[in-house]
Amino acid sequence: MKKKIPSSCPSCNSQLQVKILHCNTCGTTVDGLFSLPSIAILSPEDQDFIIEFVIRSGSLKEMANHLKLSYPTVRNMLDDIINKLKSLHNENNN
Amino acid sequence: MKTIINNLLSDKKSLYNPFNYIAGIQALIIGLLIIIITSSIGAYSGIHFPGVLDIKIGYEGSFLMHLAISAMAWFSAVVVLYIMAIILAGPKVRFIDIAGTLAIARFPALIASLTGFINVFSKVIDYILYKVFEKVQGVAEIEILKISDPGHVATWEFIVAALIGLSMIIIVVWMVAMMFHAYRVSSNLKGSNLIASFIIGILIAQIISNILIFWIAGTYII
Repeated sequence: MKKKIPSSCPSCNSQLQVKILHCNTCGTTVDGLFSLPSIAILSPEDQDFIIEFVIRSGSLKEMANHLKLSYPTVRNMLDDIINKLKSLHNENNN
Repeated sequence: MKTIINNLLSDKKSLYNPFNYIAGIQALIIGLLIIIITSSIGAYSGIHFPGVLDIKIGYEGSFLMHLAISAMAWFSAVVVLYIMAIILAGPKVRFIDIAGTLAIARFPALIASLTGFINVFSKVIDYILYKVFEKVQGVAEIEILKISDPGHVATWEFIVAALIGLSMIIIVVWMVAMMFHAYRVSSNLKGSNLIASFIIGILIAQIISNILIFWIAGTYII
């Protein structure tokens, strides 16, 4: 089963941070407070879209063919992701 | 193309929003075919579309005149909504998407053009007009307007005409819904910007198309 990194708190819905990192090889554990990168906070669907988009060299036309959707629909999906990333970026900077 | 058709058939929303699957040049080609077929049928059935939202019966123009009128109605909406989209959403909006999706949105007009073959509707309209003019204006006015007495109209004919009238309203609503989604998908506008600009755009396009069609019908006899 593919596990998803939870980005928001199941109790209060606030944005989660990484507290512990662990190395499976040597067993080292790092304890601290690390922010999740913006892309990791996006929904799994949005993350998949970004990966597929980069694999296809950023071609909306190829993405449209791959997803079997119209060009403006795919462009709208990308615009929505850009807007989400912009607002996450602004939140992190404030 | 086969995939697009399969997607359209498997998604019920495609009835009023096929634009998630089809846009651009493909939509424009199919849409222009829809306009041409609608005009061909209209030339025989007497239904024409002298405005973005208009469906009218009893027009005896040639196929080319029907085509010019339908094309004007479509293109008025394309130009106005494209300008609206560019102003509000920026230069990323493609003209081909607006033109293609709005052409496909004329599909309900094709269905409407078929209703002109049902003679009962025009007979009942003529009957109502005749009775109204007979009461209000008198026989002399009826002769000037060349409204002939359609004779006796049976109850079932009234019912059929009422059903056709109702279906015309549904067809206009269907066409508006398709135009709305065509504009939404092509522009990616949202919320009040989308709704307000669509309503204003359609009203402006309606006025422009009415003026253009009035001018073309009065100037040229094709």
